[in-house]
Amino acid sequence: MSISFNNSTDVFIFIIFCSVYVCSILWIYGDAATRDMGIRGAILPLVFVIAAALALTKGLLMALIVWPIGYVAWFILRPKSSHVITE
Amino acid sequence: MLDILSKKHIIAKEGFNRWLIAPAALGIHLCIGSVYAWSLFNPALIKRLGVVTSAADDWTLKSVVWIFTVAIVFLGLSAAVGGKWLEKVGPRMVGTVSAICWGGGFIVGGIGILTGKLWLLYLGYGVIGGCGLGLGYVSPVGTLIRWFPDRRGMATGIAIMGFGGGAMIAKFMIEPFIKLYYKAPEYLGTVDAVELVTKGGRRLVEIAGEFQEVVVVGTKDLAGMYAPGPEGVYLVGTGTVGVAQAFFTLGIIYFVIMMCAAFGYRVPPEGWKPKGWEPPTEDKQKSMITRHHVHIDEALKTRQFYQLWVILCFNVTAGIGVLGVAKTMMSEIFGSTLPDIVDAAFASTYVLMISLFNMIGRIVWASSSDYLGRRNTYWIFFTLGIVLYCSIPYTAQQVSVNPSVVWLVYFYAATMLIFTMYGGGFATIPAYLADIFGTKYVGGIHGRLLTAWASAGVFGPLAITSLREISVNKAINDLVEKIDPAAFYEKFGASIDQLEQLISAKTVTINKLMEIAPMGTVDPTPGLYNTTMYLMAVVLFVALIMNATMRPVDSKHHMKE
Repeated sequence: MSISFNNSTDVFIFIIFCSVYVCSILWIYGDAATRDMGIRGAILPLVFVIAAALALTKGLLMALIVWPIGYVAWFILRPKSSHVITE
Repeated sequence: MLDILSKKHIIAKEGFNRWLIAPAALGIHLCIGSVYAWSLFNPALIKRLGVVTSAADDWTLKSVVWIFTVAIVFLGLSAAVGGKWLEKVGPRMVGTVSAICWGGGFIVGGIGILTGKLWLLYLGYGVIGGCGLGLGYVSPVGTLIRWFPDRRGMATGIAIMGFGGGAMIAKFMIEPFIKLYYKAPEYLGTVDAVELVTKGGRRLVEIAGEFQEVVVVGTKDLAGMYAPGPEGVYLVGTGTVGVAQAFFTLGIIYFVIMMCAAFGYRVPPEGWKPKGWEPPTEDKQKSMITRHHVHIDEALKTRQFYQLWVILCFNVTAGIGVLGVAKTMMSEIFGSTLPDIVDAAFASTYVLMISLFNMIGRIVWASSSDYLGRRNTYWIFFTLGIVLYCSIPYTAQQVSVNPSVVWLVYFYAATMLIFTMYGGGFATIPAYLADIFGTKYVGGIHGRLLTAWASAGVFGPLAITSLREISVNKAINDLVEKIDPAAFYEKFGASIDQLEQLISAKTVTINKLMEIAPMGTVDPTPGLYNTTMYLMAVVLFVALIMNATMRPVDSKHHMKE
């Protein structure tokens, strides 16, 4: 892994970035469930996790680029209608 | 047959004593909590072949320490995925699968150790065992909250206290089991009495015309031996370190206890509530406790979930920050300034106290939160935490200037208080979730929130290691600037231009530079942890804001009756 930190600010940004990334994936996971996406809803977040892991091996900057691409892609790919789960 | 594990078969009958759920939950958490004692396996794992000391083909420490991280990552992932399943099938089924995974993980891991396949150990303990951890961790939470809606914090505190205490109990099991199965390798004699040959870095001895690998035990290796033995030469492959057998035994013990505990689970009938207790009204006083329920998937679309995610994640990160450096600070700073008090025995007691206070914090803070309120409890964690974290660098600096026992007492008390809040953060979060999202899906939502723990478990240690490295490099560079280049060359046999290589080869260290530093140069060692502590304080500040801005979930997310 080629992530290196020069100072504590870098480390702080890394912590915040990781948090935002994981939270984004969880949000997509929940969003997929409320849009009846079935198995696709579980697989897509997994694709983002793998993409992030691969991007991290290339450095934090690459991961920072991949994350918004994946996030925007989700908004394009997801079904348009959602509903509140009442069960 | 699987029907006996289903939710409908474990609905409690009239008059069931709800307190019987607590020992079942505690039993599971005590077993899975042993994951914190992973480091006790490391010394044995790196001597799998050599037994008395590491042989050439033995695993390195670097290759086995990551198994713990893998287990924690799979804890988070399995809890996140298994949480929804838990709500569907009930705690007994999940507890049973957890027992199979955790016990089975030990068995698979043990086979990996026996056969020398490291990937099998990763798969067994890290992946399969990690899944057992996650499922076991979430299995009792929702059930306890439903049985104790009046004392949610205390109920989950009891179970999660078990997770903190599991490592303490495991300490009394792991080493005795390893010693029980330990078999010393064949002793060939002292180094002088045996004709040693070195080929390809290995030490060999010719026995009956064949060269066989041996290990040489020196004075320093004696302390690391599980059974006392003489210094000298031992034949590799003739003994057993006992760790694989300990894995098998522990796997069976944990499986049996967890199965008994899983069969102790009962869920309350629909609509059950404790006698004389009424759900709190949603007035302004108790506006943080909802009477509504939010679906597990819908919860992921609320901002409150992510606020709680950050609260848990950053509290754990900060806790890991201190856990990672407290022991080193105690020995490096206080051990050198107050050597009469801080000796090896003092340091090992300090480590034991860390586990104890972590465990105490879980039950005390979680129970207190029933009276203080969940938001106020975390308010205390973060405000007090920030003050304590910021004060530790000052303490370290003061003790190096004025070696007074007062600073030691302060440091001890401050770190112990931090450890209670670290444990308390884990134990209070399920009750906080129940307050915000209702009790119906709290077990599953809690499972998904545990991804925060898995995340903190990965980037927390990475951040701490990096901060330490940054501080050390900066301190070395500052010292080098003050040192005469000729003195530097004389000491290290290389010029300052090659500093980077000298640092990475550990030739140049702070201690070695201090030996040639001009008189009056201040030793930078006490300040090495300042950035870690300040960064953790900043991290806690972010969590403080998240907690302060916590509001009830918007009614549009509530499940419709």
